Amino acid sequence: MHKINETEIHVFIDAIGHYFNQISNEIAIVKAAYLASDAEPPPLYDYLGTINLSGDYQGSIYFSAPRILIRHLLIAMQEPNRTEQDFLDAVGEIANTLAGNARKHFGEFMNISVPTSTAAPFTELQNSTRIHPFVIMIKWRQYHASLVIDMERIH
Amino acid sequence: MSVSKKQGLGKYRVIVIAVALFLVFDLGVLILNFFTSYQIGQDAISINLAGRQRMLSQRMTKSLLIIANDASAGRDIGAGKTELKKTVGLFDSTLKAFHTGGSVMGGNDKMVELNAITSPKGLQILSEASTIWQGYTLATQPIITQAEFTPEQLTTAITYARANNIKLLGLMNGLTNDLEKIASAKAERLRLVQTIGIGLALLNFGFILFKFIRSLRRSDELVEQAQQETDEILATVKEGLFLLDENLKIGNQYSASLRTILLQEIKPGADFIAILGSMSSSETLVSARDYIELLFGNHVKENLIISLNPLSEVEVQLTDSRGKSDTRYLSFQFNRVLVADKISHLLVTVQDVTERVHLVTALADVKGQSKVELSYLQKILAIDHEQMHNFLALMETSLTNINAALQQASEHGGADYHSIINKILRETHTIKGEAATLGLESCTSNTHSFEQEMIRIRNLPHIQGNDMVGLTVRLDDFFERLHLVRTIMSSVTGANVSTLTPVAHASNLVDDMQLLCLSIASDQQKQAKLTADLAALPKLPECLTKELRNITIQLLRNAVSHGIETPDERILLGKSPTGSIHLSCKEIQKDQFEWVIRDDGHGLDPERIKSALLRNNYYDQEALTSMDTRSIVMKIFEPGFSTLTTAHANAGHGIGLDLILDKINAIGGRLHVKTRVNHSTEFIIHFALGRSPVAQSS
Repeated sequence: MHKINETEIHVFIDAIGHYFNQISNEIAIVKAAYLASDAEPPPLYDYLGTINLSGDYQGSIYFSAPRILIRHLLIAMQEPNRTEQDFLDAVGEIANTLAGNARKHFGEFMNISVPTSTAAPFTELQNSTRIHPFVIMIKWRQYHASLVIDMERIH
Repeated sequence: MSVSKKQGLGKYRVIVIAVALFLVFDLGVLILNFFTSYQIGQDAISINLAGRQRMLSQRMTKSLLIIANDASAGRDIGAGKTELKKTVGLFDSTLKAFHTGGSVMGGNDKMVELNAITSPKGLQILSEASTIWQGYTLATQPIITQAEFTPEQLTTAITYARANNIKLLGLMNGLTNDLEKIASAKAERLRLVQTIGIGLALLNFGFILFKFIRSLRRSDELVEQAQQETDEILATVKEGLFLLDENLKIGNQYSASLRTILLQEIKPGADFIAILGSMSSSETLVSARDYIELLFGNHVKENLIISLNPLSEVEVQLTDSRGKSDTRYLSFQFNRVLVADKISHLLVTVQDVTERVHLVTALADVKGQSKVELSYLQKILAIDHEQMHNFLALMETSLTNINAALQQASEHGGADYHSIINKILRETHTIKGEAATLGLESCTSNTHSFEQEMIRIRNLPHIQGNDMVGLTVRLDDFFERLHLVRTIMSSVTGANVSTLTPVAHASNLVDDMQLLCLSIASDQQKQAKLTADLAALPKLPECLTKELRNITIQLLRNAVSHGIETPDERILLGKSPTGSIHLSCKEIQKDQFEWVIRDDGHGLDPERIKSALLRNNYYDQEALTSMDTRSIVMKIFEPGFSTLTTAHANAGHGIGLDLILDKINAIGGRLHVKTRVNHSTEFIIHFALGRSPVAQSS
């Protein structure tokens, strides 16, 4: 196993930042970055977008946000519908953005699954790849969301 | 180059020959024109004079008739004779000149050169005219030459003239016509030659134009094609390519990648040194200029100095359009461009080799790390297992505290990153102090580097959450290291180290502190000896001993780094070259303890503290003036304060004393400081067993 570095973490942070800025013209700021553990699992909100990694990398990247944040995001996107599926699609699109940026940065060395989005309660994150997954707390407007980077390089 | 010259001549050979032919045609026509014009001029004289002969033949007859008329009327015949003489003489000389060529009186009473008639018809006319003229000359001779002539002689002359006058006129007319015909034929020929000549010249000119335009067009096409290919190459190539002239100016063409690599707009003719100066150090700039000048010098072989290139892997600071600065590594390769065996330019190839450098560094780090790990392992195995276990437990607690501090930033409205960093610094400093007492250099060095990174962030004008991400990555490294050491310890001792109950060994404290004292002193080329009287220590609970141990580590580091002078300074001050540090623990009343660490160094100098406070912009002069000496001395406990101008592993970050206050508060103690300049500093901690929050919580 090889540790991932700061630059690699920023690939995902930048993807989220760029997405929110593009949709709303308002930046999403990093509030804090810390390490999760079994005793202190990553904070998860109402919705969860996930991409699973394979190839030279192994693990998952998660983005979780509360319903109110997604609702404001849909408003910013001028999306007239507010069904449950629209909420899931919005989270899925963020996960898709994460996948796109990862593909651009890591290229052929990383196999990325089709992004998925689910609503609480979650069964993910039970078997984490890392002992301490990275938790990046993001604030957009007055709402918090979490970006969890639970990946390792295996080659 | 000689090949290209030959090719150049070959390319223009046809055009050169065509131009030469054009000139030859024009010159030929000009010469022929000149020659024929001269001949036509001569023919014009002949025609004029032949015409004059016609007129003279009539005037001679007229003169004879005038003489006869004047004689019969008894008038003076002088005028008639003179006229006859002149007319006959002129006719005769002209006729002779037509025969043999020569000078003759022209129409304007000037001598003109007359060419002999050569045409057969002209010669025949001249022959017939000469025969008639002989008779004419004989018949008129007496009248012209004799003063008195007989009427018969006059009658004979008039009769001859009347008989041959028309014939002679006809012959001279024929001669005139013949000459006109010859002149006309010449003029006709001249026109033909001119027409052909000019025609050929025009054809030639057309050929030249055709050939030249085709050649130009082809050349243009080739140039255009070459330009397009060059443009395509420059737009596609990943390296930054450009030419550098002797004045170190960038050429007009350069690859599109250059802007991407240098992260700035490049203009043709831009000063390379100025561009380099905006991103690298002045030393690099000087070396680069020297190297480029060396390359432009003809006397040094290029291959011999390639290894001297100071820009083959240069560290640069690049700032993007958003003002974000980044450290990159660029490789500039210089190759001479020769024109006619002289250096005209340098071809510069720029590559961003940051990834490569990072990879090489990472590889070297891994190699170095393996060595460090091995030595680390040896050190770990040499340390008492329980001591090591205590250290690991402390490390885990501190790392967990650091993580909690980082997590804390997300929980409240506005995160106070500054105070979070100070908190993390204190925890890191505890680990560093303990690692140093155990002689774990690798761990000391890692924590020191972590501290430096935090101090860099703390000094940023506006700390943002993004800046803190790197700290979390490093924290994860520490956790991994902790996990690794525990795994090693478990496999060595056969016990699960993490499950062992921490046991503090007070008896080891003095030994550890003495070792630490010697180690720090040796690092700073100082001499120091620690003595201790810890008679009351066994009365203290382990949890308090642990905290006092942490406090003592920081105070000891402080005493050696800031208190004890160098041996030379101490000798000058009349002190022993070896500094003394004394540690004591006394029970001053029932459950009331006093923990003292005293050094005989140069004491806390309020003026030195004042200067440091001013230098680091903690307070202005006015605020400092209003403070008493005690207040100034107590400022040493402010986070980030240090009197040192440069930090090293043992001091200078201003973390230790801040941490001490934190720990003293944790045991519910009170701190007193006694100091005398150039004499001593004493840190006295009073605490009571019953009041210690640490003891109570444990």
